[in-house]
Amino acid sequence: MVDPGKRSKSDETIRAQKGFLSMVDAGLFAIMIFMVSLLIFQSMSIGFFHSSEAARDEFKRESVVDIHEVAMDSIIKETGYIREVEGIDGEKEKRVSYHNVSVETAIGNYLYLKNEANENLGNYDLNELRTDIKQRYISVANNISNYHFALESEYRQADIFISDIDEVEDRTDLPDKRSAYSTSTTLGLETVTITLYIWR
Amino acid sequence: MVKIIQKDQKAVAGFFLDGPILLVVILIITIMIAIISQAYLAHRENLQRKELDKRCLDLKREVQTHPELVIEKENRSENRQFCIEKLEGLDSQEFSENITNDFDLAYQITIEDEREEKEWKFTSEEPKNSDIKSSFEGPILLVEGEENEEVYVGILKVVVW
Repeated sequence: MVDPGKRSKSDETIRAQKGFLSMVDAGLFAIMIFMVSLLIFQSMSIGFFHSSEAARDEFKRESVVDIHEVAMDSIIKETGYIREVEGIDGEKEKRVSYHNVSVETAIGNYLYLKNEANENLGNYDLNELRTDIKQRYISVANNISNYHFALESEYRQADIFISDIDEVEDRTDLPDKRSAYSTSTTLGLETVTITLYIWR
Repeated sequence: MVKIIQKDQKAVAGFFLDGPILLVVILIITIMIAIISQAYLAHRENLQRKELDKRCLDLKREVQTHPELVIEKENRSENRQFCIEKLEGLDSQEFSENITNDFDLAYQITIEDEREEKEWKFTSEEPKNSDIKSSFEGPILLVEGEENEEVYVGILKVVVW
């Protein structure tokens, strides 16, 4: 007669094995559930980051248009260039021209005069004009919108490249993550493109 | 009879053995539900924020071209060039009646003139800290006087919630 309360050794071994297998099953199930939930979280998170990135990009695009248009339309009260010319008596005299002009006109003047200087038609010190253009962009891009900027344009043999960061000297120094917006103006009969780059 | 008792014993013993496993499974499912609901809430908040960002830009574009606010040259509204005289004569109620009457969200629009430290504020209601907000801040021009125009740089701030 077999005592029902007594289990054989082989029964206990089988039950221990089954218990162990159940634990392994539960562990695998846990890993699977974790992976599925992380996958769902990840896919939602990617959507989240992508869309916020897209929104930031749209704000940045709007900003670069605002900064460029406002800076170009704003007025420089006093600016000028210095040209050294020979007077009648042979003495060198300096003539300073001041303008009450929009920044767009100032950029046009700068490019036109620099091109003339390159063709040896005159000797212009355009630093004052350049500084005034730079100050206007610093006020709009840096102070109001908190962006770094670079302004670029060229006309015949003349070019202009202005940035608030001294190390940024030409287009190759610009960071990859930037926004750009271009406008056109006319110099003589030529269309000149002026491009603004912004970044943070 | 003996066989039935044996089966019952096994069943009772099996339940106690599977108890910890059951606990682990319940714990894991709870964590999974918590993670997914967290992700869903973040996703939903992001959708709301995205919609708000879009509406914020729409309102900003509407405001910066509105003929009741900007100067007009040859019957054309000048983009981003706000007329100081027009701003002086407006209050929040007139602003909401004439300019933002189609806008169904709460907003606050601030135009600042840094030169004179002047400020014009138009708001539909006071914002609460708990609201999800979207805001945009950009440069504008402020034009004073119709004949001898004086042009200054200002700031336009738009907040919607």
